[in-house]
Amino acid sequence: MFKRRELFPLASGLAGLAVLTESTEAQAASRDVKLDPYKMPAEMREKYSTRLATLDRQSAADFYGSFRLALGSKYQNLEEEVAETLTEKGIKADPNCSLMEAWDLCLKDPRFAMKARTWISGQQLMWSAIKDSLHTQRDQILAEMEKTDRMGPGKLELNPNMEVPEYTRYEIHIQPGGYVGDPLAGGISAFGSKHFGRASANLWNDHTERHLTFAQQMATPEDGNVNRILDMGTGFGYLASSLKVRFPDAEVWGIDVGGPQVRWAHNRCVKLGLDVNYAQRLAEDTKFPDGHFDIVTSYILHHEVTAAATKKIVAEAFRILRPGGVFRPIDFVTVGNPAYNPPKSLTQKAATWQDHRYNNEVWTLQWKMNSDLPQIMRDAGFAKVTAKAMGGAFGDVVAVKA
Amino acid sequence: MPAGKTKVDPVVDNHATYATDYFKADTDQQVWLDSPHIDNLVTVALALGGEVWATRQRQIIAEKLAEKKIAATTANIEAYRPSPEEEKVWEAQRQEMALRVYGTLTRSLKPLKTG
Ligand SMILES: C[S@@+](CC[C@H](N)C(=O)[O-])C[C@H]1O[C@@H](n2cnc3c(N)ncnc32)[C@H](O)[C@@H]1O
Repeated sequence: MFKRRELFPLASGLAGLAVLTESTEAQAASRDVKLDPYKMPAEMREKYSTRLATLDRQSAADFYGSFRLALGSKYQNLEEEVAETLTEKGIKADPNCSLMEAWDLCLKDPRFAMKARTWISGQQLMWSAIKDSLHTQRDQILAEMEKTDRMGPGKLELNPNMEVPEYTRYEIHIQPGGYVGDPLAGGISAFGSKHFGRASANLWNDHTERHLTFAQQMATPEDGNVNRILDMGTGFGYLASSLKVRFPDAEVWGIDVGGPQVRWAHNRCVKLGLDVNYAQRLAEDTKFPDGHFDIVTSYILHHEVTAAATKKIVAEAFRILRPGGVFRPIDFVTVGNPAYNPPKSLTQKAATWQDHRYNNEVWTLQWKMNSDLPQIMRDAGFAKVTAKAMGGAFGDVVAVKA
Repeated sequence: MPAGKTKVDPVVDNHATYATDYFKADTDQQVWLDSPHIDNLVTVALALGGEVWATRQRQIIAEKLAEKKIAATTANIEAYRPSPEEEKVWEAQRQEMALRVYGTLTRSLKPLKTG
């Protein structure tokens, strides 16, 4: 058996960070620290690296990600081939067919079927590698979290008797146990964020580059005052912690429905010495007072909740923001955003169905196709809403409370 | 649709889990190729790639250590941290291996259309 590497190689606090980066003192109360996540100093890079504790499983998970990247671009002319296969079989495809019908048709083409098979097999193997690695250390990790649950600098609030909505109990993107069902769900999704997220270079997250970048690009209130920030559906807490790195004087909160998620997030910030608060709470019922926050944000929360929940969450964001406060939920482009581009071809529709049905993105269609985010924001009372593409498949939608 | 929830113990290894019941996905029940055996074998073949790379990765690190006259003990191998440049090289090596070994799975099955 391989000897275990240090469980949490994050070591002490982020001492020296301010020296390593430029700091603009716009306001005494709102320092704004600039940093280039792709040029992190070596010490910080090591602290922020996402690496499984067993080299063996780490390497296997790395391989499945690289496999996907390498083969993903090798399917030229797939649309034409599927069409030819269907013609050979005497099948006439209705261009207006449903996503599910498109999937059934595309599966008749062996090349498409193999593409779907390898993608899903890779996803399953990636999760197993991550889960196996973490679970060999379950006792140790749980014991450690028991200790850090009660440590600072940031607060941790767990609500084990909270009512967990049914819609949050699915194994979204086939993560074993989902966000609420595995005691190490926070770790499993943190490593998933690196490996599953390895869809393209701009989604790299080997050293938290992605979340640090989002934090650096975060929209801020016009008056420049950033005293309180909330990250909804924070999961393993990377966006919240990255916002604390950018705004060291702000009070930063991350909330998530999953107890194991916020425990993991808190444990990591204790190790990093970052004063971030995490709470097991619902995005649609945050328990914060009216007008409390300067910025409310989230990263890929909405496509994993129902359309009804999205409306409630947007209304809740409006309630807890102060006048002039900014709401910026980062997620896939939806209908209502000029950048929205619905799946049109047979293979695009089939891939959308594969993601929804077999990668188990249970609520993603309700989000992309039925939730007009800019309109929902205006209906909730937001005065100024801008919507455009953000790069990748994400939308850049920012709402300001008057 | 899931039949019912998978039950989760609130305590494991004498620790509170803070986890709760969930709905299991049925993706592992699906068959998309001509026989469940083929679907299974694709997963097996891909899993083997992960294992081969894991072995190769240890070998690469062992060789790096040897160059620096450091013993390739388990502890030293596990503790090895790649430089950003090495990470890039390893990524390229994995992708090359993936294409070499599995590229054939992406091959076109229709005659090339010219002109
Ligand atoms: C795709 S994950 C995103 C995690 C994280 N924001 C990140 O940076 O990747 C979605 C997260 O939203 C959480 N979530 C889902 N519904 C929620 C709700 N109603 N309230 C709070 N969190 C929720 C899930 O538990 C999960 O951690």
